[in-house]
Amino acid sequence: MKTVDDSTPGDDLEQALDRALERNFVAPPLPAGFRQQLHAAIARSGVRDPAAMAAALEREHEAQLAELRNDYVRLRQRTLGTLIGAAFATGLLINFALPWISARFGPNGVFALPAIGAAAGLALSARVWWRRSGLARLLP
Amino acid sequence: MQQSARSDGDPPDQDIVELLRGGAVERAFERLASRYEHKVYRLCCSVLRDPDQAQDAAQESLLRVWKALPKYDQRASLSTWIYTITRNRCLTAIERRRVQESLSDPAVELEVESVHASAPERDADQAAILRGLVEELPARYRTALTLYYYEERDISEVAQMLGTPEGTIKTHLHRARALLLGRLRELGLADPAQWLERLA
Repeated sequence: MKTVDDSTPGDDLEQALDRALERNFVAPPLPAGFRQQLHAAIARSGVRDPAAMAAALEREHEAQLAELRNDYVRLRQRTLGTLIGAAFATGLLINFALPWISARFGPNGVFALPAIGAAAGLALSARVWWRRSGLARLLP
Repeated sequence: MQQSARSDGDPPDQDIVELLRGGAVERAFERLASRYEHKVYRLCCSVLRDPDQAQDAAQESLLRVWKALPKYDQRASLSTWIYTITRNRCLTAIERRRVQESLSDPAVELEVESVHASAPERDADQAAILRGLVEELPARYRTALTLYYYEERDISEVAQMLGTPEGTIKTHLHRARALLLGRLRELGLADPAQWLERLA
C-alpha cells in the first residue's frame, strides 16, 4: 500500500519548498534503447539460459568436490604408506648397522650418530629461518 | 503507465514467481524487466547522481538479476531482492569512483570544490541553485529526498528501494527539508517562500 509522507510541511515556506522540489526532481526517463542494450549485454555474457547454466555449474561443482575428496583420500593413503615404509626401512637399517656402529665407535656410538643427525637438522633449520627473517640483509 | 507490480489479493509479483516455478525463466525476466527497469534506473540515479553511471549500474544490476533468477528462493520478496542487488551494484560503482577520484590531482579537486561552493551565489538559475543545495545534503538525506519525489511521494516504495524502515525515511526527509530551509536562509534570501514559488 502506498504510504504518503505525513511529515510534510506545515507553514508556507515549507510548502513552497515542497512544491519547488516536486517540480525540480521529476523522475528521469529510462534512456533510449535501455532494453536493447540489456539484451545485448545478456547475449555478450553468454548466459542464454540461466537455469541450464545454474544446473551445469552445480554439476561441475559436485564433480570438483568429488575429485577433491578422492585426492584427499589418495594423499592420506600415500602418506600412511610412506610413513610405514620409512619406519620399516629405518628399523632394517638400524638392525644391520648397530653391530658395525658398536664395533667402530664403541658402546656410545649408538647415541653419537643420531646426535650428529639432529645437530645437522637444527643447523639446516636455523639457516632457513635466518634467510626468511631477512636478518642477513641487515649485516654489512 | 507502468504495469502494476501488485494486484488485489495476490502477493506482489506472484505472476513472475509462478513463471519461475514453471521454468519459464525468460518470460519471467521479460516481465520483471518491464516492471522494474524504471525503478532500478531511478534508484541508481538517486544514489549515483550521474545518468551515465546510473545507466551502467542499472544494466549490470538487471544482468545480475538475470543470471541469478533461477536461484531466487523467495526468502525475500522479489522487489526487495532486486533492490538489494541494485544497491550493491551502486555501492560497487561508488567504490570504483572513489578509487578513481583518489588517484586524481588534489589541486584540481580543491579547485572543483571551490567552484561548487561559490556556484549558488553566482548562478542565476534558481533551479540550479536548489539542485546545488540538494547536492550539498548528506548522502542519505539527498538519496531519500530525490527518490521520494521520483517515486511520487510513495514512502513505502522509497523505504523498500533503500532497504530502510519507513520511519527512518520520514526522519531523513524532515531533516533534509530543515537543512534546505536553513541553507536558503543562510543565502540571505529576503523571502525564501517567494523565491521558491518563482521556481514554478
